[in-house]
Amino acid sequence: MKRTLSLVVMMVAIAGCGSDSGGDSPTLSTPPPTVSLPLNGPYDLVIVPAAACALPATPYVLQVDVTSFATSAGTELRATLPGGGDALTLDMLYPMTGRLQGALSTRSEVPLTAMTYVRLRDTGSGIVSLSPGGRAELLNGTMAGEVTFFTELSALACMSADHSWSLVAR
Amino acid sequence: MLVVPLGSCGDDNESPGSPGSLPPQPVQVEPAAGASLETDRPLFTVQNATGFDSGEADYTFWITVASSEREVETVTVPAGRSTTSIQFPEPLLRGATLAWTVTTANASGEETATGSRTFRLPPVECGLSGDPYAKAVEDFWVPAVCLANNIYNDPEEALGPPDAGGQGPDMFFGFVSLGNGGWVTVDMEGCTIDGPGDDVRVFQAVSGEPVTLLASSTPTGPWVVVEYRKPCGNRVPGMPPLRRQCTFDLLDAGIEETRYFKVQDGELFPCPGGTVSEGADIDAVEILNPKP
Repeated sequence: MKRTLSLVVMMVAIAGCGSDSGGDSPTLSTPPPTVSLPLNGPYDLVIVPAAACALPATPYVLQVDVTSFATSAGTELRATLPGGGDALTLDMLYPMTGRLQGALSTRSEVPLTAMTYVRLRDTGSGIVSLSPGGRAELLNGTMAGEVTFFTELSALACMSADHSWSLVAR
Repeated sequence: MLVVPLGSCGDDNESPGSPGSLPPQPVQVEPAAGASLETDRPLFTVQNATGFDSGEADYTFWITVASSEREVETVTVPAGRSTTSIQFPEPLLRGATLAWTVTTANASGEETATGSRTFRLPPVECGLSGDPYAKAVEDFWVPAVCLANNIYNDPEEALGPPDAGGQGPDMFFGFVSLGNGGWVTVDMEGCTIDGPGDDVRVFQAVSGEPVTLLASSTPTGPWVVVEYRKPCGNRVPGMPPLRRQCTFDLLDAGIEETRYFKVQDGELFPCPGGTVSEGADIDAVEILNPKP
């Protein structure tokens, strides 16, 4: 009886060794769990043009109001400047829970400061995460297309697939 | 006596990242360089770097098309114990030589990375078709605010040969308007290969709205950009002026063969835009270099 018990314990220990060490069957690492909460309310839209663009005065930050809503195609997101209108819109689809994909565009130039403006003709995607305050937000999504920075005297446009964007909860 | 088998677990008695146990940079373990794999969801494993072990760092796995460096997939996970392994939840891209690299960052802000290794998946599953035009719609999305204002909202109009006609603004026929950044995904059934010159043509109606073209070996991606926001207003000899077109070369994306295309609006202008055909107006998609 004593011998049998020892044998059983040893077999358990050996099995535990294999699963811990990741030898023949490595343990898969997994990304953080998907955030199912949609984005709603006030956010900062943060645009970081690709480094290769060397655009001045980055990042570009605009306050936006965000609404997520159900449609026949799924859940969509629309962001506009505070007060609505369509000078700037983010029209996006949640193609699956916790992901966003769609367009970031402006009708013309949108003021950043009293003397500077930005125009967007871009597509973007990203993964929803939780802010420290518990709201859904999106950080460092990928963005491709054209970003144009204006002053009263000049316009600098840059086309790249390496821009990034965020919707940071306010 | 029972302590002996526990002691044989090599990693258990070592503190993570102890000197001599891990290399200074992460080392790619599998897939091997140049591997031809039989699965669409291979296991990727790196040996962790010292100072970047379990509880100390995150690892980001990057999959790109080798020749173009276009991104295919990426994922960030916490470090495993001594090694870090991942498997992407969805199939990766067939029809191109892919590359994988891994970067890691720890809480101190230090970063290090592997080199790059290439690998291939099995060939694309191509249907048999002598007809070069799109056969089926796999996916379609146009922002709700654009759908509400546009009147050309049938994605099936992107199938078959070009047939756009009629008169504007509200008596056109034969195309689908994609609104602000919308898309239609089509199955060509047969495959397009990277052959001489351009390989695929998109027929776009009304004016010269830009189009973004993405390619994949499955109807759900991953999608690789062939070209961003390409102006799509070239006249087609022998066709009515309403029918415009632009052509794309798979070489730009490093793709050798593909079956599915996602055609996305490249005008990227907020709706409502004052017309009933906002966005690129897609009439047809045509293979120029079919796989024999």
